[in-house]
Amino acid sequence: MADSSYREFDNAKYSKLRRDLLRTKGGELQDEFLDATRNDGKLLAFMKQVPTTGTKDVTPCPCPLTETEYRNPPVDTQMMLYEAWATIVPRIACRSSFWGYVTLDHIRHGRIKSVYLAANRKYPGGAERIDRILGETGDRRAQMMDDCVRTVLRRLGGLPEARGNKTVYVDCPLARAWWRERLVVQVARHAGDARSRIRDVVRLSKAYWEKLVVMVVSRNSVFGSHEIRDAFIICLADAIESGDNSRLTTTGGLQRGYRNLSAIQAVRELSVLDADELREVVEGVVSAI
Amino acid sequence: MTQIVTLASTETGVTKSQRYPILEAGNVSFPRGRYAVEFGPGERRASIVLRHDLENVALIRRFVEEGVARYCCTVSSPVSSYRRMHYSIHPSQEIGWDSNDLGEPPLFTPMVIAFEARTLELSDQDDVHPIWEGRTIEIARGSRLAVGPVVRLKPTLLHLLRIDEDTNLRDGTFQVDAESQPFQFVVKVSVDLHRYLQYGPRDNIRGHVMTNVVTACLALLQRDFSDDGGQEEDGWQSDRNLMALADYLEENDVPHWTEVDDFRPEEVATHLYPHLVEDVSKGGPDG
Repeated sequence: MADSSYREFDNAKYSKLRRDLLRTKGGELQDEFLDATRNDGKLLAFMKQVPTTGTKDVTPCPCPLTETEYRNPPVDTQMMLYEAWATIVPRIACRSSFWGYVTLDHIRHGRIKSVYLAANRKYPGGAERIDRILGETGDRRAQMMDDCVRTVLRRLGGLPEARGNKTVYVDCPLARAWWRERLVVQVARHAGDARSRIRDVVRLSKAYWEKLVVMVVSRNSVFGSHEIRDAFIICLADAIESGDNSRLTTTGGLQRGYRNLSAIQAVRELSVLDADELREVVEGVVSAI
Repeated sequence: MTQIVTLASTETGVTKSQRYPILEAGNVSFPRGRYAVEFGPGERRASIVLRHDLENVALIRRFVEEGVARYCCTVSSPVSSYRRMHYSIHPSQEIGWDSNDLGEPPLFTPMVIAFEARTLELSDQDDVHPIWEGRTIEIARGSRLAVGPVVRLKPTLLHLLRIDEDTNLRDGTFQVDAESQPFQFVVKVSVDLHRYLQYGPRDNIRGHVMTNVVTACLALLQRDFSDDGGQEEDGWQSDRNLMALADYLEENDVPHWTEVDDFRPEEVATHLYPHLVEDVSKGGPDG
């Protein structure tokens, strides 16, 4: 039985903190928040202002992650996290308040460091980025600080106020690993031996995953139906494995396939078709990409 | 019960090329077509009862009676990547869902779908536009024959309020906050106020309190979202509750929270929910 009483941040309080943090670029609160993010204990103390709800903690990842492993969990970490957290239900897993708390709990247990939340490609690590910003005195300080606060909030469960539904799936590394592997497991129900091929598709790149997620979480999207997205991803995985895949592995190719499938779905509800009928339609779309 | 009606005669400005006639808003294939769907509470908490009613669409009605087509409704929660189709041969259907799958109140899309393929010649007996008469059409399995709008049964500002009791607040006081995913206002009220709103009479005092609450909610929107939108790619427009609220304000012809010079929370709130007071001009105790 799925347990839905996992501990998470109080959603209203955490939403308010995020909005407060975004209100003034380079303001005192952003300064305080980044200074806290520089140190595990300080960030844990800072986040104490957000109360929690629920009673059961998610078991943290068994071993510490490096900054690189955290920012982009490798396949084995992705599989291990999903297996350990398989009882989490989508109602909870789509919430920033939940993943924000889980991320903070990983800092509390020494599995990640708070500075990892600030890392980007421009600096060697998150610590260097924060140090650079806190030491900055020029005109760019406010913008740099705001950018960095947004990076941290995205990793800390996501930033729905600015990024919408996709933020949990895309921006928070732990949530991204969970949702990616969940999709792999769901799609592979229809093709037992296809897990690794499907995993390759959802891990093609962060941009590819983001595009796919936007298609899934948008209202009225053809990929909202698991029957259709499962069939599409299996076809895509098969086509990519079979050879000429240069068009299929680009976000442009994905977008074209999605558009063509949406045009068909506009007059024909594909989710009610038998598996074979649906596969025939989807194969036609994938081969035309 | 809530009723949603789709009229083919609705002007949408949309022109589409179709291979067969569809009953949908703005599509004159069935010129007098009407598709009404009534929503009511189901027996279980996570369920709903729908009643589909088709008028002036003889072709679709015949398909349903012959078992070629079925009444359908999708239940979806995009935020948790959930969408499921339910179908029935009867115009009344109860559909349920597992709350653990949904990250937000569900969206419903009623429709009528062909479950068998058919090839036929249309005639004036089918209620179709004369342009279709005499034409042979092919209906594939899965073809949408009638399509209603996407519905979320949370239409007004008051439906976006969650009212919680807060024992730390002094009597007669309240605070307004908000939470995301999906957006809703969280109104924390003192114990006495909570009891009054829950069990008290439906009188003007209740109305004044709620107008006061709505003012605070709108002020929160003004504070947090008035200059939002340019920073990142989505902003408040990525939340469908806030989008629906923006539409609601527009329908009521009041300013929107991003209209910096015109938006006054107290004025918008009292326009939507005016204070109802006695008309004292008609004479008081002395008059």
